[in-house]
Amino acid sequence: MCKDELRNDQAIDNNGAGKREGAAAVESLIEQFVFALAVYIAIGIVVGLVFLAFFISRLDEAASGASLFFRPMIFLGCVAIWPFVVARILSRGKINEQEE
Amino acid sequence: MAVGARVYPSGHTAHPVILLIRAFGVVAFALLTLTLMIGPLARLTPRFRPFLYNRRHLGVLVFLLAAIHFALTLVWYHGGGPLNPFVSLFVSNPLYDSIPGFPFESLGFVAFLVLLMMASTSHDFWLNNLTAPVWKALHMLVYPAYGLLVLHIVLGALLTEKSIVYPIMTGTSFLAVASLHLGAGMREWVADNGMKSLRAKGWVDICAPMDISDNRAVIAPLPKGDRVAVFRNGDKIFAVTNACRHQNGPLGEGRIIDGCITCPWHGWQYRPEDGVSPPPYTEKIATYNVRIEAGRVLLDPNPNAPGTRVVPARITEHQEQMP
Repeated sequence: MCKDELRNDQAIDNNGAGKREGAAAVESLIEQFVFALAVYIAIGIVVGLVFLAFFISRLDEAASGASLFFRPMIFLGCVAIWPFVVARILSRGKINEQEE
Repeated sequence: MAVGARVYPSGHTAHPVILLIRAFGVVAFALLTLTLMIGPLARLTPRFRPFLYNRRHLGVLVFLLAAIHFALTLVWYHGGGPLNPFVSLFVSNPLYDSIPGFPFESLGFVAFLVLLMMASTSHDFWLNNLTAPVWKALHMLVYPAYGLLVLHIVLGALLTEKSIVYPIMTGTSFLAVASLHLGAGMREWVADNGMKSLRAKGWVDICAPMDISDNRAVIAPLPKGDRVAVFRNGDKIFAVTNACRHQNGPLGEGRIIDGCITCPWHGWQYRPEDGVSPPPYTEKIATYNVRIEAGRVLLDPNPNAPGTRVVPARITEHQEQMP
């Protein structure tokens, strides 16, 4: 067992019942946070794939002639900031409607 | 890894995976420190400006190293148990109300998320689409992330370490980054204050020194309606009235020939330093006082009497490189 684990185990043993309740509350909160993060990433993957397949060339003309590596390179960014990507797609749609 | 094995606390086995985790963490932190030093170093001396281009590449490399550190940590310390490894990462040490026992893993995780966000948006595509101010604001998050990483190391490894290698490395890195930013900031603050003070006295901001082509001029209007021609001759900046004594020709559209400002209309010439025509001619034009502050050419809008000698503003190497 490494030093870090020893320290963690010791810390848990030294706490009383009240602390354990607090720890349970923290654990529940963390579970919710991790679940929310997983949902965020899952939506990001879907948005990223749809964006790269259908919308990227419409939003950025330079992307249409880009290399094969370009799309995989920006996929992670799509996942990370997908709310911005969705906002861009929607705002671009409104601009197209106005132009028509 | 060899260094990690040497400084590992005595009495405990230095497992290769733990050494690997630490090695990736240490290298990622050291590389991030170097990356953060490039900006202020480039502001202090232009010799480091070429490295600015590589900051993004270094940042992505830092993220990849941090990702390996994170993945190994997750598998080695939190994998295989009943809890989700990501949940275990945060709850294996629940002492969130304690400073010395604070779960340093959570700090590292938040810093890792910031690095991920930065690395994934480092491509020019994101710079263009997020717009420069938003992109820059997002990437400025690296500083809070660096602070979190310092705490991650201090609260984590340092509390169980006997060796002074980690404290010296972390402390030196943090001090180097902080002092360089402070030094570069102070220098800019002094320059900005100098410019504000001159502006308060009515001096006019003309342009950046290198916006003026060599031996050419920029023509600028002045508050009282006059026009001034600001010339650059190598590393020297001069300003004279834009009106030639002959037929009010636009001197600023001319250039410096044989060391003299030459009117584009009829070739009348004036020395840039005093506005006097070279002998045997005796015509004189008004000169203006100029200064360079914070990378900008500033001009006193009150003209000197025709023929008054002025000291040119000198472009230093630093100012030459400023955008």
